[in-house]
Amino acid sequence: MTANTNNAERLIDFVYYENQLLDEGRYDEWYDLFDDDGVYWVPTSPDQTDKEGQASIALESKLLLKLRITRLHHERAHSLQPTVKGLHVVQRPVVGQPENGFESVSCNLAYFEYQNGSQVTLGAKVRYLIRAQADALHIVEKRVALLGCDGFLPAIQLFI
Amino acid sequence: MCPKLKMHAYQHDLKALQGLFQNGQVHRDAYISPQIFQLEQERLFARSWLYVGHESQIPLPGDYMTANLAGSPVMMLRDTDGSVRVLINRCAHKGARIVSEGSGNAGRVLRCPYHAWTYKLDGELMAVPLKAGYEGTGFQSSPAAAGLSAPSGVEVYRGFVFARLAPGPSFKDYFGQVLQALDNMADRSPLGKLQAAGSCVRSVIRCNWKFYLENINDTVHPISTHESASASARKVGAEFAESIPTAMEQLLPFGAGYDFYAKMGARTLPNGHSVLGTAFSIHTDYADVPGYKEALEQAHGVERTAQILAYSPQNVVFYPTLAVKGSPQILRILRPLAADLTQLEVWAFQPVGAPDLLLERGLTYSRLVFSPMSVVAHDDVHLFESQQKALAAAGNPWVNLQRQFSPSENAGEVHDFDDGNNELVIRNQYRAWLNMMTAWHDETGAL
Repeated sequence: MTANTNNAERLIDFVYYENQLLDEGRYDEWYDLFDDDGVYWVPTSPDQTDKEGQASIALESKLLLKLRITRLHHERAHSLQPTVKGLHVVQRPVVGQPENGFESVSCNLAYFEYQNGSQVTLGAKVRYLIRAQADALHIVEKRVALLGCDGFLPAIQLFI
Repeated sequence: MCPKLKMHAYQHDLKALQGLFQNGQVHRDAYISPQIFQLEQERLFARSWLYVGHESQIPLPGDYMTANLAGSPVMMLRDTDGSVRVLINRCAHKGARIVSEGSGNAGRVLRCPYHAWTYKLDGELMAVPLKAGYEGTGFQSSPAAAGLSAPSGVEVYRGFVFARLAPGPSFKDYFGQVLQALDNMADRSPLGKLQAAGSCVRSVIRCNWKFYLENINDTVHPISTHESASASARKVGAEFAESIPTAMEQLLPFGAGYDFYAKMGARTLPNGHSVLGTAFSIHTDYADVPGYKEALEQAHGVERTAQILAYSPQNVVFYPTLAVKGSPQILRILRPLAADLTQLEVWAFQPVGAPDLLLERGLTYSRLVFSPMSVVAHDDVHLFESQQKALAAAGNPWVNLQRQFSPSENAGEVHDFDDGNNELVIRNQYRAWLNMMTAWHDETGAL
């Protein structure tokens, strides 16, 4: 294997692992995948590059990710009763050209969220920007471009 | 087995309609009956002034955006002479949609994709194919020849565009004093102009529109409904204590208690409108934005600027489907689709000539509090949807809104009071609702 192939495999495995942590509800470990300046982003238009001048469905720094995870464990998070379950079906990720010094890897995603007999199904293109170090990979940005990002969406309670 | 619900034939029964709101209680049929929803479409929404959009969304000739107003697809567009038009998005020929995108530019002419009928941007019919075939057919006096339909009334107020589909009260008579809230939002720009953000937040909720609207004036729910969000914000805020960003400033007040709202002040107005937080609100204490006050003072003077910034209600309701926050600059627009289905659009605005941080605050609030992924909205939506499902249950058919009810309040629609926890601010919506639903005569003059 060449170094390039190794690097690509490492990024691809990382994406599968990241989605696995969400499906298994291992939110604290998932949180640690984000770098200190990491951002989780769900824009409202498909080609949106502007985070500050345009609306987003979610735009969360580590502080807000922590807040969301903390609430998931709160006994009076009413909307999470009965239990909400999420499932990520990940198409084999594709490694792109590095952007601004970060590794870039993308995948198509089918996301299912289930509660009390109702299921929400969402399609998305997910793009990760990753800060790669010898011993670890950290997310600088996870951008979830929903197929229906400009439509009227029902409540999405867990992380896509 | 499901209990059998007895649904009245409300359409011609004045007494049955009046029975839906009694002594500060609302009967479940107001929320779950498809027949009532149909009557709301005809009697309430069609005769109210409904928000369409903001003119900053269509800056250039030919620019348009579409919306659904009470079951009617409309387009708001910029005419070649710079004026704003609102037209029904339905070809005069056979009813096909003229434009299909949510927004775009139509050029100088609107052209139906079906049989290529063309219209000027004011809706006038320009040309039809095979014109000779219409000679002597009565076409000239048909509704088709009159071009695209328009709502009965259209008004542009400080850049905000409203339409009233059917004949009804004038814009100024309908809204009256509550328009101050739109003045205030526009005056928050040194130039008196607002720019809508490039996109909005949209969600769909499986509940009656009135549950959402009531909740906009419900000060007693945050402390219990949003406990998980405010408690988590406090906990995490302590961990990240070195910075108190906009997000914390906006989320922490969701833990405010009953006492806070008891002194905030409220005003009810005719036609269901209201101002919640006439004295102060959870938005009052947002930090100053460097340079902003100075820019406003230069434009409006010191005294006027102080007045503009001091006016910061929690929510101003433009009955029936619009709620306004002056700070942060946000509009919430309800688009009721069925008795049990409601769409919500949330638009943030930049006061032109003010620091960008103001738009950022509006966008942050939109996603933290109103978006489909908002941890605040999750608990609201969960409860609204549970109400909608449970109302058909056996037993008690009433929704209770009697907190601080007094029969004397029936005497007038304008009330000023200190205690935001008084559900008068919600009962006022139902007085207007009942007025519009019952003040109706069909072509024969019968109710």
